[in-house]
Amino acid sequence: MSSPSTMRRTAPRGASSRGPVRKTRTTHPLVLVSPRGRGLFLLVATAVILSIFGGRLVQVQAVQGKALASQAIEQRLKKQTLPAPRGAILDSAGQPLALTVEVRNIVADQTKITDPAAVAAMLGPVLGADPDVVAQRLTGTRHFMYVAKGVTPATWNQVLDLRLPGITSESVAQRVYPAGDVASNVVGFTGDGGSGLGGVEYAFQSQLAGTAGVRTYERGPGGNVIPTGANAVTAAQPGATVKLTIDRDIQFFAQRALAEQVAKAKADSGTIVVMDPRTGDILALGMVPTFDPNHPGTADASSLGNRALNNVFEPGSTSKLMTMAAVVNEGAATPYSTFKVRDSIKRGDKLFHDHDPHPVQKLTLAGIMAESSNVGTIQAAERIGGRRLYSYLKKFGIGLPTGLHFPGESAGSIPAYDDWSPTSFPTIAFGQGLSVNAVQSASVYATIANDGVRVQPRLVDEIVNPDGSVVVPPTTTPTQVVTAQTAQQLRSMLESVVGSGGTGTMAAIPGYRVGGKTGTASEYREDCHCYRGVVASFIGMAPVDKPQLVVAVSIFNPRVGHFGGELGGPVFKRVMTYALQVRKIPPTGTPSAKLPLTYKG
Amino acid sequence: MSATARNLDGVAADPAAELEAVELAYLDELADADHAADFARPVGTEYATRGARKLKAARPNLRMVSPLRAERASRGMFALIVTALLIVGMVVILVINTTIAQGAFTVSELQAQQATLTQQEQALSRSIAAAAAPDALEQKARDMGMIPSESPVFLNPDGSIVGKPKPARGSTSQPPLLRTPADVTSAEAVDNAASGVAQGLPPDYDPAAADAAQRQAQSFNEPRLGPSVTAAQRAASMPVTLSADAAVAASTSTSGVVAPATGATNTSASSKAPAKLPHTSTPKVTSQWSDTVIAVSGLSSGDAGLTAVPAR
Repeated sequence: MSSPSTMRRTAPRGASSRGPVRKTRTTHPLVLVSPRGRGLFLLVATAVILSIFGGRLVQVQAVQGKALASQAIEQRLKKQTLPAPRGAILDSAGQPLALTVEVRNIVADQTKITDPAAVAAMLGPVLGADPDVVAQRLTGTRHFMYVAKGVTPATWNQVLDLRLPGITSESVAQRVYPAGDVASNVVGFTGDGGSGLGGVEYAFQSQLAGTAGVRTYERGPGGNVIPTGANAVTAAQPGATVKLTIDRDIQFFAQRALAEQVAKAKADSGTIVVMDPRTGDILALGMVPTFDPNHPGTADASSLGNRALNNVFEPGSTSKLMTMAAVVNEGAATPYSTFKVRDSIKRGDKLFHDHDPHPVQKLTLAGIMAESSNVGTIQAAERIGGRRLYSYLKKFGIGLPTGLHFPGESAGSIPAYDDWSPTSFPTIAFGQGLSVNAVQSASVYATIANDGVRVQPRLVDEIVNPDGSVVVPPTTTPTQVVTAQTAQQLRSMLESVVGSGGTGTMAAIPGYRVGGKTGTASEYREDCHCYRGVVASFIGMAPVDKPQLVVAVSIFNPRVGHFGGELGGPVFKRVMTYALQVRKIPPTGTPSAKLPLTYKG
Repeated sequence: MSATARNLDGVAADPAAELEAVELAYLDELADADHAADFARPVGTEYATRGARKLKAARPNLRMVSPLRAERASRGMFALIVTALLIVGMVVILVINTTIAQGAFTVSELQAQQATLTQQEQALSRSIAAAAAPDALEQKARDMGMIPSESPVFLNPDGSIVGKPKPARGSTSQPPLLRTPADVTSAEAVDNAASGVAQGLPPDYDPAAADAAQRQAQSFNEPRLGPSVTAAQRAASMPVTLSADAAVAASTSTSGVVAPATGATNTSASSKAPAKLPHTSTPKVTSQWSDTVIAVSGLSSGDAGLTAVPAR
């Protein structure tokens, strides 16, 4: 108790906790008024202050409450996009053809670098770059300048160990194609944003891309995460893995063998298809020119597509297999049927020639095939007529999509039977006047190899989702085009092409029974709307009695060499030899059919 | 406060009054303990003087000592408990906060570790993929003096041979036509650097523009580095780019391809280079297979080496 309040009391305060009561007393008249007035004053003052506080409280909490709260959250809350790792593209053995890895872009703040030359001297060797070039990048007044892009994290760690001020890095995902241009025209490539721009990368963009995730967290002014704050993570959904039917080794070998031959023949381009006829699996789909998907920008734009699917050509003599198959399957002839073949024949208003002039030959159907006689083929085809030939060509898939759904695929064409002119029938019989792509023509031979059953070609084996579920792209049901017996007879005829007296002797593989057909077709050019140059091709299979592989080689516009047998044959032989080893296909050991090519009488 | 009780000079009163006095004393006591109670004093004093006069006549020197002592004791205890609770509470909060912060640190540490391991894993699988690439393997095999077999030969379990073995011929010095990714990777960094130098990039660097620039300036820096030279030389020997008019033939349909960017026209040195055949160097003919039938067939990354076939 304070002393003024006891002043009126008669007795002194003996037990005051503040010690002895003061004896001296003053007689101020304020004694009674003071406590009440002061109390009132303090009460009012407190009330006023508290009302101000209260008012402010209401203003902040009730009036501006929501806006301020969201503003605060906005200040603290950070949304971070978690990029989804793009799915890999694998070959049939699971070897990577396309991968996504994290790389670093090294960035310099030029204002923080006092001695660019010294920094460059340290940085250059680590980056494997010329210090002079690096020094140029470090000199200036810019706060953000790329010193190097696409550096591996290991290299960045080495840079980090140098403790260079002003050198930082940013992390980016990079699409890597470890095998370089092996199968690049199938795999395709990605653009700067990481999305597919060609090939499988483009066709399966939605499956490969995955779904990006989001991380939401509260952070302090220094950028540090507030541990007790809101922290929500929606994990990124990685992209699915696309597994192709391509065998990387065969693909590489085929691509190189083709590239060498195209260079040797000074040709414009070339394609090669390796197929398993029983499943329709495309084991290799190579073309020249090609490109390196790691640097798609450096390649000519026309090399980026898939020539074997997007480019159609008139098949020429390789198409005679279909004509013969139709004739044999219709029972109009057997491989032993005899024909008197002159070197030219007039049909409609046109005279059709064989490649070389010759006296009248006595050829069997097998002989016509082995010597690739146009006149003989026309004669054989006339035994069944145009309408039936047309229906067989359609059954072999001419003019129909391959079912691969590859971006930019061209189905080729054949004029509808009703539109045929008098010269159409003989022309189409020996393979001009209709167009196919490389895979379609390989598929025709695969059909004969597979006992007359046409199986849809396959390029994508399966799609493996991140959760482990597997999606197999649907294929059409196989169709029987010709009987197994017809197919077997035709394979024997193909074998005679490779045998002595045939046009494809350069394709023979010692120890194996090989069958195939040469083709030397005039090439129709879109740029001049005329026929210029040739397409030299060879399509074959092995082993003939039990075919497990079909290889189709086409070389466009060769300048050195001309015939399909001499240009396509050796490539076929090399690639088939290699593929037989890789696929562990032993020789069957059976004797060759040795059909008679000519007859006497 | 005791002073109030002692000052009471009134006559004796009923027990109710006595109680009232005790209460007042207690109130006083509280008032002393808390200065805020000063406001109540004038009212209390009035009560006290009136009631206390009566009380004094009947029982003077009334003292209520013990409750006050108890009060004091409990007050001390109370303070002690409150302080203790406060300290304990603070310590607990401190411990909890420390634990949470520690957890956050552990999480970020582990995340960093995970990121490092992921990077390592990626780097390793990338280098494996590069080393296992068919052309890299082929080159290594050639470096070891191996050449591809030209005749597939198989060995039956009984030792008999399927196929016609013959000596393999060829050159081990044949360069692969497809360039290896290793060349690309090492050249890449400086290619990028070169593009920036050549184009004089603004501070607000646009990666898309930079990449377009990179394409244009592709040949700018290539000859400066060792690995790039190799790549350029190899590119020159690639039949991919034959001659100037080879590109004309490539006018066939590529509608399925979205062209990557403008300025993608091929101006690199390799496109102008004449086509070189890989066989122009003197082939070293090896006849090491003459005495053996077991050909190491193929140079694949698979197991297509010595091939055994099941007995038929």
